[in-house]
Amino acid sequence: MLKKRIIPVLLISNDLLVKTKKFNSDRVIGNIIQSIKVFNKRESDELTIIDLDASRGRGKIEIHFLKEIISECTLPLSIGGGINSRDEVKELLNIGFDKVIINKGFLENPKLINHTVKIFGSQSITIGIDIIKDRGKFKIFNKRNNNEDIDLIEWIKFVQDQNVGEILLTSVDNEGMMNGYNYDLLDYIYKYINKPIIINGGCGKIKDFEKILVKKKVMGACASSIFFYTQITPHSVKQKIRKKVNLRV
Amino acid sequence: MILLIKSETANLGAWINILKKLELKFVLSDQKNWDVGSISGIIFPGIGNFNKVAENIKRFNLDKKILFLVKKNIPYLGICVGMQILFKESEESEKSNYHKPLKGLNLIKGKVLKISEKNIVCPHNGWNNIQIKKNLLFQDIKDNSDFYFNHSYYCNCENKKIITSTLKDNQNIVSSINQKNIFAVQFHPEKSMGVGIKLIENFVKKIC
Repeated sequence: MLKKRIIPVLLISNDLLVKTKKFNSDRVIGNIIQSIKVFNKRESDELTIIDLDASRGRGKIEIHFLKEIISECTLPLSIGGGINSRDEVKELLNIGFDKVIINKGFLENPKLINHTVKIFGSQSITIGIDIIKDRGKFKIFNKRNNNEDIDLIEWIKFVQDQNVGEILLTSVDNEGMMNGYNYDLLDYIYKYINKPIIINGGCGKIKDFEKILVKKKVMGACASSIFFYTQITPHSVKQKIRKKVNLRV
Repeated sequence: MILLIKSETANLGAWINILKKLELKFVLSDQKNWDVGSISGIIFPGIGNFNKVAENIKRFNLDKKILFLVKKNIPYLGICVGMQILFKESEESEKSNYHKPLKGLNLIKGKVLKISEKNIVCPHNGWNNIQIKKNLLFQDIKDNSDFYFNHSYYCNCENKKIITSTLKDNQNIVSSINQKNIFAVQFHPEKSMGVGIKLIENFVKKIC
């Protein structure tokens, strides 16, 4: 059976590993190369790297630096943050990434979904959707340049029709807060989902992984703070929840 | 020397790192002046839309070089779309709104189909366990091992005898084949940790 995935997320800013709260107040937590080496050993199923500066529109990680940090890694790798062209996707896959996560790039230019899927195949193209709760309603966090609001459910339906591979859903309100994933958000969108979905934001205890991964359509759980601020590792998570969730152990 | 095919859409860097680690000599297909006579094996890494990969290998004249080497009995290892490209046709070309669906290498009979099996999530992305038949490529790899998959299409072979492994869950989803000197896997050994490295070693050290 296809296993559910435990996916550590590594946020990079100024070539350093950082941790954020609600994608703000960056705190430097260590050396990125060292962390990747550690996660490569601790039974992670995949690693996700986010170029935080690029996602904030402040310049991108140098490609040779990225190449260096993943050179020791034999795990599946995804990268996101500020990606908005086919050439960039090509370059990132070429240095060894397996999937790219595109967020604002697709919002700004929805045609890019089809253009990238046609070249690289849908399995390599993940759409990232960041969500906040605003006056009681779930909304897409990123805006288009013209500030136009896009309805979350309409957007989810649209990107699935465009044959995107997976959907990475982040609740910005929960990100870095370690207060559990946003289960209300998942309930709100669940019936519209027909692609594999990965959930990010809020994981603080082992039980959180279990609670989210027992949902049929959720194929992976992303987490960051829990692996840096506690003794918990992907390995220990798996040992604890393997009876309830189908995992690679 | 291993010939590493550069199809422009693959995760080539991952292969370069592994081949270096295994201290193997290799040459990239876009490097100048490589000698056909020095090639002892071909690796065709995955990632890419079937149609785009078919277009690229034609554009760089790689299709003819691969066919020439395979006919000279040089071992071939195809990964993911590097497996699918061995077939003549793929539904991916037909479904991607390309004006002209392009053909693959036509070395294996059958067709590449979209995953529509009820019990398989599509894209089939993640770790899954496979049922393995005895084959040199899988030497010292346990039956039911987990490998990393990332695909939406699969190879439907006409000759079922060439199938060397399938998903345990669904035997329609072929995970590897072997026809004479042609070996191919649907999963990504370069991303499958220990068992994946073992498989690559089997290919380059025992088969090539």
